[in-house]
Amino acid sequence: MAENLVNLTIDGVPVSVPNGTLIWKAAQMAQIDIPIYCYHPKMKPLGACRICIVQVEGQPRLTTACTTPVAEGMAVHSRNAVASEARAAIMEFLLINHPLDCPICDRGGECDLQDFAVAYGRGQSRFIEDKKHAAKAVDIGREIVLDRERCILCQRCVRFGEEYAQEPGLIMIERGVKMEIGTFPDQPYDSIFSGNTVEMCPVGALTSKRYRFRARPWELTATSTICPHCPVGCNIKADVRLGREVVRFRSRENDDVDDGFLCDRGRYGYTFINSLDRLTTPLLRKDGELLPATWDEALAAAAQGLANVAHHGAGAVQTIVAPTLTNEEAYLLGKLCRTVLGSGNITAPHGNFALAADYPELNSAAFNDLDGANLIILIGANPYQHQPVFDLRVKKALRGGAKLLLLRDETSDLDEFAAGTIELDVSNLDEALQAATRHPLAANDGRIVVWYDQRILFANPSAGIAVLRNLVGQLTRVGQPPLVGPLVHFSNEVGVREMLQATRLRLGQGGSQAWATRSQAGSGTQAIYIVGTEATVPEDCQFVVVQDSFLTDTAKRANVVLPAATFAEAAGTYTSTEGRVQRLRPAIQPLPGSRSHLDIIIALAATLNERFDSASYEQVFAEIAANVPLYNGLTLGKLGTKGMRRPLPSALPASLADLPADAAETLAGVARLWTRSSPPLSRALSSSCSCSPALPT
Amino acid sequence: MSDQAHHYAVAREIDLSRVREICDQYRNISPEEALMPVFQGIQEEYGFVNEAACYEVAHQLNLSPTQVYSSLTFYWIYKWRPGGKHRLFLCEGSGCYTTGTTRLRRVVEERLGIGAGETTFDGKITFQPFSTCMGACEWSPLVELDGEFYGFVDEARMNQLIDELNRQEYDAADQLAAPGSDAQYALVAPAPNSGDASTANVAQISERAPSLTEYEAEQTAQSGPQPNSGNADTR
Repeated sequence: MAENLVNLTIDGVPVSVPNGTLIWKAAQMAQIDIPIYCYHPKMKPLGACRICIVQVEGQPRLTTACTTPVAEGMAVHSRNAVASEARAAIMEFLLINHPLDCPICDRGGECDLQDFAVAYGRGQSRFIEDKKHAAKAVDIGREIVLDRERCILCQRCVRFGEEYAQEPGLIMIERGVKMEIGTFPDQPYDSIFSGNTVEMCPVGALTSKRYRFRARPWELTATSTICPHCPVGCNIKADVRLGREVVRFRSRENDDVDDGFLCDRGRYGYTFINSLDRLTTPLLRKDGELLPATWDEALAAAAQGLANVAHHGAGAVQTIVAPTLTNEEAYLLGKLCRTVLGSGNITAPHGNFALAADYPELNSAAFNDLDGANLIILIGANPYQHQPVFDLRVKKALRGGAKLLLLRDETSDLDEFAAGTIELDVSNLDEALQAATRHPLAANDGRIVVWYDQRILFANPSAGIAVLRNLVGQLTRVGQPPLVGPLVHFSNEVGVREMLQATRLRLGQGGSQAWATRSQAGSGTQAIYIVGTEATVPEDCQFVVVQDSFLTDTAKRANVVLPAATFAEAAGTYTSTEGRVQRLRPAIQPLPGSRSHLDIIIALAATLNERFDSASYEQVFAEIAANVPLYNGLTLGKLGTKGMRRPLPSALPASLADLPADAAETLAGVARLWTRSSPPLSRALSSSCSCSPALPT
Repeated sequence: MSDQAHHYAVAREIDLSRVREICDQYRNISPEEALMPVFQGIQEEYGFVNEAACYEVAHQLNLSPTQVYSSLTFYWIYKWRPGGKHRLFLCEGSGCYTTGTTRLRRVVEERLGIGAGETTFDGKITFQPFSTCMGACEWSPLVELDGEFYGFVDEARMNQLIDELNRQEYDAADQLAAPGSDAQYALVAPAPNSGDASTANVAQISERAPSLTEYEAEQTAQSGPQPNSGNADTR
């Protein structure tokens, strides 16, 4: 290790860094700031802006810190008279044509050009000639606006499209003094990753249409939370203006998850939080009409309605859980159904995937395993549509030398990157997977990573899982099994299902019913409790409670509507598709009149005369950590700001075939779940519902 | 009159099947390498490369249109719109600049009534000064006219060159036009698709082209008396 280190001094500070490190990076390690515009740590250096200019002793000319690798014995000066003067001159050049319209610029206050001009510039320009004028407020894409006068031509945005997202993006047009950023004439820059260019723009040239003129940076407070719009779980900062309005999401770099980038769906998926259509009061159906009511009335009506049918049998009350609820909410709902409503009839509209507790070998892959993999096999996946940032991670891994084998039944943007393609017929999974094991690409001894889309398991989950396990066995090379991971479609599908599984309730299984975002209530259902999602309600259903943020079509059919807060107002944890448990933090208080899902569930349970031990999400999480096997030992403190992957059962079965299909039933943690004995609902309502069936011990 | 098309030798549309043929000539090299010769081929044939051609090239070479466009615009030599029949290039590299290109530029602007990168209203002459050195500084100032290089050009020589152009174009046109026909009007009227040519140019040329004597006389006769002050423009 030591022989690979290079010793140098930067501004007199001795530094030892790995060979090949750039001077800029070495200075970062020594906590010396060298300004950069064109350089971006995630992309190849360019050396276009020259602001990072430094003096290296013994070299005749000044050099750019972002493009020069360190060498043994190098003496770098970033702040001596020569370097400072040169930097001030570069700064003066950069500002020659800059309009200096900071007071009306979105970036003003958090702009690198402002900051570096103050820190390194000369204060006053000696340029007295006319400035170059260019187009302002150019509508250049669905989400972004370009101001060509503010642009300093660092080309970060151009290189992001070209190098990182590897799709047609922004380009440099013309040359020399006429050079400008743009697109093909009349072709907008429409990419699901376009918002990243706004974030990486060091000046105010690229601005976001939705954030434009909405706030000044010093009015904002940032909350570190995560994106709820896909199961990747990208880390975000939610910027809130004056404590009330969510005006912007930014990437909160977590290299293990998102590598510092977001997709536009996540980045701009906040506008509904501020919508005027949000429900702010509970609604109660009186004489066939939904009318505003107080929380007490609504909760009492909901409790009474559910309790009235709860004693009709185990399936009388159905609970439908959104796959976007937090682990805590799902857990409490599971508990509510188990103990209070006396019904095991709880569904979540999600697909089928192999649960980590049952099949650790089918949940072994992390996003980070993509980097350094020799072969990536994607089965039926279209990450560009469903897990966009995962798509970026795959492309990054391919740039790092991995090969991609696609098993596909539809075209995706990864087609052109694939080294091999196998046609996939979901109804005949075995054949495609056999073809994959025979594929020449599969004959390598390096690391193989397999990600399968959950939809391949619709038709026949158990057979599909068997085929996947067979694949694991066949691809095991030199004792190293391939790493396999599921790709689900909703933010907390994995977590919700694990929570419901842990409460050992019957889940909606298989088929299109479980897959669709609209759930179908089963026959025999007399009351439905729908939390955070839309569902198809049967005509003959007597009583419907809907808990949502908006008056959806489902809510219009309801007897009681409970206004719920959105993800930006809720606290909890999400489990991503790679099994990473991350914290969701509230950026704002719930909209007046609404309450968080967790609070509503607890209040409804209380109205049903069931007091849960846990009254806050912290307590519920502690309960989860104690009771749900995979989450044993996790604490919110351990999750921190970047989350951690929940541990997999450490002892893999010696032979994969030995693992029982319903392994979770025998896992120890589950049996501990419901050792408490109060039959609260029956006591409260003096009904004969069988709410606590005997547990296997 | 019937010969009007003869004077507009520059194509206005690009035949995409011809673009495909040009691309086909470079199938044996990589698309990125082929880009420049393909552009050159189109430019040579049509005098410009437009959106449609750009798209077709991208499609044929399997490149992204935006990338093709970026490469295309990087080189000033490729025209996005049809240029004039004659190309007058003025080197404004440092060497030439110091030997007096500003004066030459003024001559062209005053004689032809067009600025940098513009084409005369009738589509005859395109004037393009550029600051990328052509590597013939020992001859500076350097002018390129229709592929011929002229060194040590001073104002008198520039005037000569323009006179020569006038002789070629406008005198020949007068000869073609039968006496009493309205062929002259065809020279004055803006060309149907001539892009930047504005009606302002029409006025300017009548004011500022003293050497186009016959032509100017016609103009004055047509549009009534005008101040023929030459330099006293309102620019």
